[in-house]
Amino acid sequence: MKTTRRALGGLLGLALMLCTVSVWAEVVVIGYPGIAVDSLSAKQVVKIWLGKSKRIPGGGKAKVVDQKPGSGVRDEFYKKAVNKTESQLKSYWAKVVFTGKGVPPKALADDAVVKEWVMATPDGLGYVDSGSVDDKVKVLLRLP
Amino acid sequence: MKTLHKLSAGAVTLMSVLMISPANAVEFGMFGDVNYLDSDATDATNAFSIGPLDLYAMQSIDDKTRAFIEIVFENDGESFVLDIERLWIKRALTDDVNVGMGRFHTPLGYWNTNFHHGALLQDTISRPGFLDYEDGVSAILPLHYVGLEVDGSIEMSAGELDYAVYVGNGPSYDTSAGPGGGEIDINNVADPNRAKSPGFRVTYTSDAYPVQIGVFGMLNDMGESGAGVNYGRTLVEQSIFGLDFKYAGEHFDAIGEYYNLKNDDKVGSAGSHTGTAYYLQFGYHLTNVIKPVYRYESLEFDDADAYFNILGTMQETRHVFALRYDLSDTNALKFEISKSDPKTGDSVMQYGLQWAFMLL
Repeated sequence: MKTTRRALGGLLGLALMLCTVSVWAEVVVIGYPGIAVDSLSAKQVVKIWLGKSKRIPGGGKAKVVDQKPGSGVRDEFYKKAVNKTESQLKSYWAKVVFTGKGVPPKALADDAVVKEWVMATPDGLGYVDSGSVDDKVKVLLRLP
Repeated sequence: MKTLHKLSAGAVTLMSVLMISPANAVEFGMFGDVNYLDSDATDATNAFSIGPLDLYAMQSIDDKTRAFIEIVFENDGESFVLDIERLWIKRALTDDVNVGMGRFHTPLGYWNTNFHHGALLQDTISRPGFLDYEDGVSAILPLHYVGLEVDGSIEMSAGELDYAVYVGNGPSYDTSAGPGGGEIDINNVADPNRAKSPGFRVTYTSDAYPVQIGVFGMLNDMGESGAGVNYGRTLVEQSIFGLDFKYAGEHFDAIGEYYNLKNDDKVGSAGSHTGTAYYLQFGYHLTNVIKPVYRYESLEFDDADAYFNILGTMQETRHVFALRYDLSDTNALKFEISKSDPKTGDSVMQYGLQWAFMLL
């Protein structure tokens, strides 16, 4: 009986863990605290992250980072903002790289590393889970 | 103690960025295609074939420098040979200016800069005849060069201006085999003479409309590359200027290019002549994955033009009908029927099936 309870408890814990991993409250696009804009539209974000627009509206050259492939926040960002799956994204960048028109953004490890990088990089842009945001970076777009 | 903690935290963050950030990741990829082709040309046979195998790699060496290589295994009619298609290194001098050296695709027109190799990228099986590779039977343009390139993009209020200016080894050809025996030499490691070829392309991409327009040009002193006393001598002074455009709507798209080639014979009595080449291609997405395409192409020049005579180029027009079916983002089936009408001789019908793919 004890074994069954433990097994059920374990399964419940695992299920809760999986739910926690796959549900993201909100992805937010963040920028360097001194960045020239107060907000970005979803369309502007798409163009910047796909390398189609290289400048921040009214500002300097956009310096963009991704999160590493396979991370939940990355999947959410590309699903909500860009409407692309990971395989579509790989195919897109392969074509861009092949034609010599650009390179994909650098991919950083997690929210904390992205936030540190954005804080330290003038005109830097990244995205993180809303739970990781504080007033050291500027929130430019929320993707609920 | 607090300072020590802060320094340690900073060091940990920096280390994690350096270790995990793939700033030096190499982007690899491969394009391939397999085909079945048939034709009603005299002596033609139907055949299955494997297309060129294209491998490429690009790496951001540091925050401002990147290098690119592309090699292609292709059949030259007898065996498979390895070609270095592109090999370049570029550095960003400013946000808007990059400088690079190496072997590049000549920035002539839309097709050569977007669909050069990689059959999956283009909607049709065939490319416009006059954009054939330098060693092809219909080649008239130096589609590669080895030299120095400055490129960049300038963001404007209503769009983006992209530019590329370059200077490279002048193309040449060997006249020893007589008319029809020459092909354009790119001169990868040497140049028969001191004349270098400059060129440019400027494109404007609108923010408001899905339109891109471009202008481009190139000047060549075509030298003799056949061994002998005339080696390096300028055979033809050539200027190439052109326009291109692309419209990419939600369902409908169109691409067009126009080339004007002026060839001035410097060794014979053929004089100066002008040739024109153009194509217009239209596509319509019936669904997300099915797209019929039509292309009309034309090449015209003066019969006395020394340049085209040495290359053995035929004047012709061609109608191309294709149907593209995307099985996924990384492979597509294409069916194509084309009718070529040479200025002299019989029309030729060609039929093709291609399965094109990429590996990531």
